[in-house]
Amino acid sequence: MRKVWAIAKLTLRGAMRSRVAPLLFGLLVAVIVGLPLTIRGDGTLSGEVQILVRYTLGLAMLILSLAALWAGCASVSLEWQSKKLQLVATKPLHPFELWLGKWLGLVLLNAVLLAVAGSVTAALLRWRLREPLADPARRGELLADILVARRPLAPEPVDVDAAALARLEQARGLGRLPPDVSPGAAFEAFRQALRTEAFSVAPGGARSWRYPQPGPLDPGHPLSLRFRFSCSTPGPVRVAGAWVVRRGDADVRVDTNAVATTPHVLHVPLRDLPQEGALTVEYRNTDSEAVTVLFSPDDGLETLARAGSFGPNYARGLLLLFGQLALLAALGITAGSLFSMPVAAFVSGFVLLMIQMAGDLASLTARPITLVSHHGDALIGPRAAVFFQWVFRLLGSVASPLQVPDALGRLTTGILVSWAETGRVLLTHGLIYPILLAGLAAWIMRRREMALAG
Amino acid sequence: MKPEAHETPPVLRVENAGKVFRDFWRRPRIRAVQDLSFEVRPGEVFGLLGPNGSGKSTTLKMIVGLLRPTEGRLHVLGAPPTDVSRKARIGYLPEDSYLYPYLTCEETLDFFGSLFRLPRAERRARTAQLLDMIGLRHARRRPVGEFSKGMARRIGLAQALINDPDLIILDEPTSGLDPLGCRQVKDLILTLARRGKAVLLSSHLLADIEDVCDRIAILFNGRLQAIGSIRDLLEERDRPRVTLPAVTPEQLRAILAALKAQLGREPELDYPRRNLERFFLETVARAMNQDTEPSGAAPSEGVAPYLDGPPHA
Repeated sequence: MRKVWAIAKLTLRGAMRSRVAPLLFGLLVAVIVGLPLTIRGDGTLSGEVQILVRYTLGLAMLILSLAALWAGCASVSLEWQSKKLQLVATKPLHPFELWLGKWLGLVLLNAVLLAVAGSVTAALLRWRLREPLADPARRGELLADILVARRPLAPEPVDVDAAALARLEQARGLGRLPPDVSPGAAFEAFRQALRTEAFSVAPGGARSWRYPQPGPLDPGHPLSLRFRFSCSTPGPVRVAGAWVVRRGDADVRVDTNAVATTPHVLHVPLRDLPQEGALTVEYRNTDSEAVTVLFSPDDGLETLARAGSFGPNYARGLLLLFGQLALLAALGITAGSLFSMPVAAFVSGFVLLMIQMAGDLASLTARPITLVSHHGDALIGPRAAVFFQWVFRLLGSVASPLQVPDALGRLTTGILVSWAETGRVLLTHGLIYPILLAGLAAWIMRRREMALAG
Repeated sequence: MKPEAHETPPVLRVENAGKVFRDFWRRPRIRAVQDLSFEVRPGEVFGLLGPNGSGKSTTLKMIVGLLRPTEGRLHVLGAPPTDVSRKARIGYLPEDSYLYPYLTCEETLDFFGSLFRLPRAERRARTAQLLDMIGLRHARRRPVGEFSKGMARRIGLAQALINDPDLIILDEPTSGLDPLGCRQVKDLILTLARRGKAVLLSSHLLADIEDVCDRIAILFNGRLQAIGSIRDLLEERDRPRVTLPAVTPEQLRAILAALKAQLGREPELDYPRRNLERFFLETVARAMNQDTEPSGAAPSEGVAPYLDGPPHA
C-alpha cells in the first residue's frame, strides 16, 4: 500500500503544482457563485433552488466529469509519452499498483473538489432561505415539496397483455387485420390502446391505483400526490374531481378543481389512516360537464411518502455523483494506459457515450436488429441481424449496471436518493468496474514495451 | 574486480540477445541488437562502448525490462527482466533523467524510496545522505524542473541508488556533468564495486570507461565487436615502459646509453605529466575553498554512508 500511496501522492502533487487543481477549484466556485447571478429564474424560491442545485451543481459536475476523464487519460498517457513512466516502470511496482495509485489520487482530488462544490451550493441554498428574506409561505411550500426526501410508492402494474392478445386474435378471426400490419405491430397498438383506456376516467367514473406494499408511512407527514392529466375538452380547462386515499376501512377525501395539462401537487394527511395494509389512491371524475380525464400510464400520478429530510438526501446525491466521477477517472486512466493522447480521450468519451445509451441498447436487443431501406428492402441479412442483436445485448449488459439515478433531478423534485441506490452505485462505480478496468489495464501494460514511443 | 568474482554466479547474463524493432504492420524496421552475449559478476564494473545508435541503450532497456528481446535470453539476478520482485535489487539511470519537474529534490528521492517500500525514517536518512553525496543539500527544496541538466543528472543518479541496489545500470552517467561531477561519479562507481555491487554502464566517453571499468564490450551496429578486460584489450605487452625515480642528467644519459647498447637502437624518452582532469580538479578545489555559497552543485561530502559500508561477502 506504501507504493500505491506514493503514486497517489505524486498524482495529487502533480495536479496541485501544475495548477490544474487550483484552476478547477476557482472555476467551480466561480460557476456556483456566478451562475445564479446570471440566470434569471421564474421568480419563485423553488425556481432558485432549481437553478442552484440542478443547473449550477450540474454544470460543476460537468466540469468535474470532463476534468476527471481528461486527467485520467493524461495522468498515464502523457507520462508515458514523456518517458517518465519508463523510470517508474524499472522500480518494483506492479502495473496494477501504478493504476491504483493514479486512480486513488484522482479520486481523492475529485472528492475534495466535489465536496467544495457541494458545500458552497449548500451554503448558498441556506443563505437564500434565511429569514426574513424568504417569504414564509413559499418557504413552507419549498420545504414540503422540494427540500425533503420522499419515496415514490410503486403501484400494482396494469397488465393488459392478455387482453391485447385476445383483441389481436379477435381481429384476426374477423379478418380485420390490415395486410400491411405485422402481428407484432398490431399487438403493440392494441396494448397501447388498452393502457390508455385503463388510465382514462369517464364522467362520473373513477380510477384506482393500488399500492399493495406501501411500506412505513409517517402519519406526521402528508402523502404527496403529484399528478397531471389531459382531458377530452381541448385547452387548459378546469376539471372538478376528488382524490380519495384509502387504507383499511378509513379514507381521506380531497376535492380538487385542477387545470388540465398542468402539473399539480396535493398533500393528503395520513394521521387518520391506519398504519398497516395496502393503500389505494382513487381519482373520481365529479365534473358536471361531460369531460373524460386521461392520465398518462407512466407518470400521470406519482404518490410520494416522506422518507427523510433534505440534508442527508443531498449528501447521498453527492455520493452518487462521486461514484460517477470515480468511474470516469477509472475509465480515463485505463484508456490512458492503452492509448496515447488524444486517442485515449476520444476512446473514453465513446465508452461514456455507450454507457449513457445502455438503456436504448437494452431495448434494441428485444428482437433481431433490422435495417430497412425506404423501399422496404432489408439491408442486412438474418445472420447479421442476429449478430448485431447479440453485440448490442453484450454492450447493454456491460453498460446497464452503470446506469445511475438522476441525482440532481431527484434533489430538485424532493425525491429520495436511497442508501440502497447509493451503495449500489458506489459498489459498481467505485469498486467493481474500477477493479475490472484496473485488471484490463494491468494486463495490457505488462505486455507492452514501455520504452517504445506512446 | 576481485579475483574471486570469477567464481561467483553472474548477476547479469545476456545470451544471444537480439532486438528487432517492427513497424505498425509488424514488419522488421530496425535490427538494433544482434546476437549479443556477456555476463556481469558481483564487484565488476562492465562498460558498454559504442558510437551513437550502436545498441547500447537498447541493451540496457532490455535488461531493465523496458524492452523485450526478440531473440535470445536475459537473466537479471537469476530471473527474467520483467520479474517485478527482482527490480527491488536494481538501480537504473536512463540516458535522460526523466524526473517529475514539479517535485523537489527531497520529494523525488522520497518518492522513489517509497516505491522500494523503504520505511519513512530510512527514506529520510538515505535522502539526506544522497543529497550530501551529490552536493545538492542546499537545493533540496527546489523543484527538479528548475535544475540544469547536470544537477538533474545528479538527482537521477541518486534515485538509482536509493535502494542500495546489487546491480546498478547507468546509461551515460556522466552526460551533462562537469569534470568535478564526472570524477565524483567515477569514484562512486569504484566504491560501489568495492562493496561487491555489479555496475553496468554505457558511455561513448572512452576516458570514463577506461578509468572505471574492469571489462568492456564494444558494440557497432548492434553487434558485439570486442569484449574483454581493459588490460587484455589495451595492454601492448611487446612495448614495456620503465618509470624511473628522480635521476640526475648524468644518470639519465648513462641509463639511456646502457639501454641503447642493449637494444641496439635509441630508446624513446618521455616525461609524464598530470592529466587535464587532475589539474582541473585541483584548480576548482582551490577556488571552492574561497567561495562558500554554491549556486549549482556543491562539493560532494563523499559517498553516502549507507552505500559505503563493508564489502559484501
